[in-house]
Amino acid sequence: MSDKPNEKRRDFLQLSTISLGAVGTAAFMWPFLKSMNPAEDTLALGSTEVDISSIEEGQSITVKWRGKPVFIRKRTKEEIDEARTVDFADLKDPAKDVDRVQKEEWLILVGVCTHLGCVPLGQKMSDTKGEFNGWYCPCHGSHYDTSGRIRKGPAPNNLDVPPYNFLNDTTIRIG
Amino acid sequence: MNHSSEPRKYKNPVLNWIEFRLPIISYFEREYGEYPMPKNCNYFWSFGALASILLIVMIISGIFIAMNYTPHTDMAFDSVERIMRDVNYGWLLRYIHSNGAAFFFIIV
Repeated sequence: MSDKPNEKRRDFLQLSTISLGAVGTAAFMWPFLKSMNPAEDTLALGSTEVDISSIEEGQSITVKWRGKPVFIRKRTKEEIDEARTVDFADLKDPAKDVDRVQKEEWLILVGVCTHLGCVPLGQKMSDTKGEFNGWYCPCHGSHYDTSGRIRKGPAPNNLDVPPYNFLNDTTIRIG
Repeated sequence: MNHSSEPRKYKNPVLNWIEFRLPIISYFEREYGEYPMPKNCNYFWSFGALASILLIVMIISGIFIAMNYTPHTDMAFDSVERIMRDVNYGWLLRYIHSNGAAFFFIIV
């Protein structure tokens, strides 16, 4: 046999061995890397299901999610209108109200002020709700409107909207 | 910074730098490239490579299941249950490790 076909054969064998080994190593590493992702029981703690059937219009409740308070408010018609008629481009952190809710009457927010992390007032009926009828942070006086957007005060951003979805009409799942 | 004693075996200067300090590249070349294969070699020769690959597999899988294991008389069982049920692919890692230990004896 001449030299040339043999060399081709050797190149082919070497290349196929290396590539098969690379594929095998990658497949072997996959479960190891995956095992470092959050485990099932950790993920189960990471989401909360909330029954919202008992909340009347204008009321809000606070639930705990990943150690943080989450505000769930069933907004009245006036509050929705108030949030939608504002010219959002003039706001400090411009955001449309429609982008911040999935169903217009249900407003779900992480109840942590974006300034220094206090919990704003406005959940109880007797609380002061600030100048824009939403939430008011007592620490440094940030005012949030009926969409949880920052309107006045030192806070730089709107109240965060957590990831959530409606399981049915009366249950939401946060996280 | 140009050591006159530093050999210029390879085109890549990084390889030369490593080779000069830790001659691991020429070691692998010698052991796996240049060393002649015995003519009467049979399949029993692969057990050496199998044992060394399995050693690496056992070390890696051992480290990864140790990440989720609690060495305490009260908590060890629960942590193993957690590895088997909740940790992603934890069952696979544990079975790799336990079967790997058995295969060690077979190979040896």
